Amino acid sequence: MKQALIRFGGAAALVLALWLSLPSLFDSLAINSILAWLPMVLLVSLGQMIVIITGGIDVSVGSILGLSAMVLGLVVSKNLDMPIEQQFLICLGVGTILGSINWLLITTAKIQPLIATIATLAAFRGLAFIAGKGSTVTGSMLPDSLLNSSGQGIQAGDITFSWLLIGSVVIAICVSLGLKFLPWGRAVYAYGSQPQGSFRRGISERKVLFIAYAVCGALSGLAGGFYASRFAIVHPGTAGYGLELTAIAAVVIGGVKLTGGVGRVSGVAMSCLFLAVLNVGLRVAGISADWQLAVYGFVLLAALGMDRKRQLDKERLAA
Amino acid sequence: MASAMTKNSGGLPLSCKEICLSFGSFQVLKDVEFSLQPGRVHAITGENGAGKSSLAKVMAGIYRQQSGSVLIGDEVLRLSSPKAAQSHGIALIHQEPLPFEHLSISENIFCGSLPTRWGSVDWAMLHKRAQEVLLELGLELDVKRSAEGLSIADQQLLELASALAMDTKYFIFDETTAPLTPKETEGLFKVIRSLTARGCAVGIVSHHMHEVFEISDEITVLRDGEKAAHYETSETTPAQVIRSMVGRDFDPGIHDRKSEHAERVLDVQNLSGPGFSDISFSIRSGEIFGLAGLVGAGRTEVIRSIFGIAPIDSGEITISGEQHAPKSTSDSIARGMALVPEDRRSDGLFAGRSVLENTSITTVHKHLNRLWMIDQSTEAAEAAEALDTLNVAMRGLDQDVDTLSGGNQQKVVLGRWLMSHPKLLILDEPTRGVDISAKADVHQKIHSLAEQGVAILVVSSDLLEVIALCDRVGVMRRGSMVGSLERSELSEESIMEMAAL
Repeated sequence: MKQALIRFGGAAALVLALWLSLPSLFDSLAINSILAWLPMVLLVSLGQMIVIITGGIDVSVGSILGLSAMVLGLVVSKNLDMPIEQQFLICLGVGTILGSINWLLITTAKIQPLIATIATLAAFRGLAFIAGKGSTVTGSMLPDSLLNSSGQGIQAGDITFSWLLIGSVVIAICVSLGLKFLPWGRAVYAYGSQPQGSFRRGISERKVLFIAYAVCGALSGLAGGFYASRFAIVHPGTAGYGLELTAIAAVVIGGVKLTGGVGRVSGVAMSCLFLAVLNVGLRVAGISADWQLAVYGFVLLAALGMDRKRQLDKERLAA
Repeated sequence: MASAMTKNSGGLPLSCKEICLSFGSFQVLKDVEFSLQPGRVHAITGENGAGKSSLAKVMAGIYRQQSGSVLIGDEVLRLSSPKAAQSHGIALIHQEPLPFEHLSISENIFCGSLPTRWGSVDWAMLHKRAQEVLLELGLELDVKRSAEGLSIADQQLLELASALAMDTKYFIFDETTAPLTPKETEGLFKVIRSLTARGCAVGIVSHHMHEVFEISDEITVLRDGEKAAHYETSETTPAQVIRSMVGRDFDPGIHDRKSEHAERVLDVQNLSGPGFSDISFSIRSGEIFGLAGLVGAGRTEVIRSIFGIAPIDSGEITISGEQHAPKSTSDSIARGMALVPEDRRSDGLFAGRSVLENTSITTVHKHLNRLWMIDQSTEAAEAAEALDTLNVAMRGLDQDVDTLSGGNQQKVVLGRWLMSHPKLLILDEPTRGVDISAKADVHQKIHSLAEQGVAILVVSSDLLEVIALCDRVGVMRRGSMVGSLERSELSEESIMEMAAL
């Protein structure tokens, strides 16, 4: 509770400081780009969060996004009148299949999550090139229904709450409720908190990890559809490239423990918002895009450092 | 309980018939018979490594037996997982509970079978039922708080509560009292009595005789994985049970070392630290001193503190007349100490590296040539010399240490410390999991080192090994030294009586 207050207070102070030093961050243009940036990252971070709560990690999310977006682009370019729901279902399906491959590698082949998903990070990205024969899907090949979903939505003055943003928030609420109220959600926490103990209690490791990696894959796949919609172009090499870093940063900054068992959707959602503000803020402040990645790294280090310090303080108190 | 109808009606015994269990070529259980009768407490007892816990784990669905069967009445059970055992009403309470620290106490109790309504977890019902179960155990805890920071006794009660919540009929306690204080143990026994009073069957794994005699109705003794004896508790005595625990023929391997007990190499006075208190003993040059006791008695903790791995709370350690307050293991190594750890996999071996590197790691800085590089020919020559007397079976010094057998790996770890020519050699379970011939090689080497004047401290759960090696033995129980035995007084019975009674 106290931690939540500190976090909230810190975030509020940061926003205030930003507003004083960078008023242009709060005009409708900047706010719209923050809101446009959010949905895709939120989806991928939610999936990553479930995986990290189990004590694992999935670094292939960016490649899952890329391959899913590529498959979608190739399919819809031949069926321009496909309903939008079906387009997103394709993305979900591709993502689920790819997530299940990660799951098989981790449970059946017993490869460590980091190593297994580094391998699929490369493999899925490679498949994206192969699927499109190296070519790029451009906006003219994509249907209007897809492109409009990121530009249209509920309008409040100059600010647009796009259908994608609304969809991703609804999904976040569903994930939050699922983790709190569904038995499998509790099993995810139990497994992450104490894998050996959950085996003793008859919780199936395979089922828990399937939920984690398949849902992570599905959400990353869906994010592929969001990517295509927002950028109106899918290049097999750049779609979702490096996104795993953003997602892991969002999850860690959001208070999810890398050792498993701890984490909330609210924390991750807040930290996605924080990263969005940071991202747009750097641009508005005129800081070169070259700095972006480095700033992410420093922010992530700071978050890890704070988490570590809390852990050490706690241990010192216990001793 | 909440659901009166379970798969198995009460009143039927749980029995094991001709259970055989082996890991690789090592046979843990041989044709073991055992049964749990409703309303009675059946103790499983035996020496360290007799197979007590393995038998419990077979019944709990954690280990799969190679042959033999577990039955309830006449029904043969298929116990492929802990969950399968639970569905038959069998629960194992572990010595080391594994609570879900980040979850609420309620969830810890009902984990795996949370009450739901329309598919979603019914939190109000969950907390209510958790409160009821805890009340039954006389435990007052806020069920909504997290399980972080609970005492081991409370953690165990949480596991027990979880078993109660699943309508368990057969409770098996695996060395559950080992980490408990006497008062906590008394509380646990009260719970056990209330369990049998309402018709549950209870099995307890224990090697503490006073506990076995206090709580049990019948006793099964295991020895080397076989059923050695079965008694009605009222018709036997602790001494008789101990005799069946250890009774086997053995050759004490009497060695007539003319120990000119010279210099006092190690002197420990009133040492207290994590897991032990007020320990005193000394070892002279050329003497082999043993620390005996049951698993959990605090033997390993003592040597860890002496070697500087764990802290010391109070007391003094003197090495060759000089005070020794180890801040790190390198302090101890510099004073001529060497420790061969118990768990060679995690503490001793550098897996994936060669035999040569594993042997020379602690002394390699002495073999530098003029360019400050390792002089590989002296390094190899010294390693070969150290390993030569140990009969290590290997293709060559460059073989990956992972591919050696357990016995040979142990010899490599021992050889490593011989290269540093220690004054005081500490061996923790020097031959655990090692085959008989390698064991003989290791024992012979230990004897010859003592003859060369090395002071040796041996911690071993294998009583025969203690008797075969040691000149003097200190016996520990629950963190204290309860007595010491001279060579002439050493027997399995004399040690076990001190360690277990």
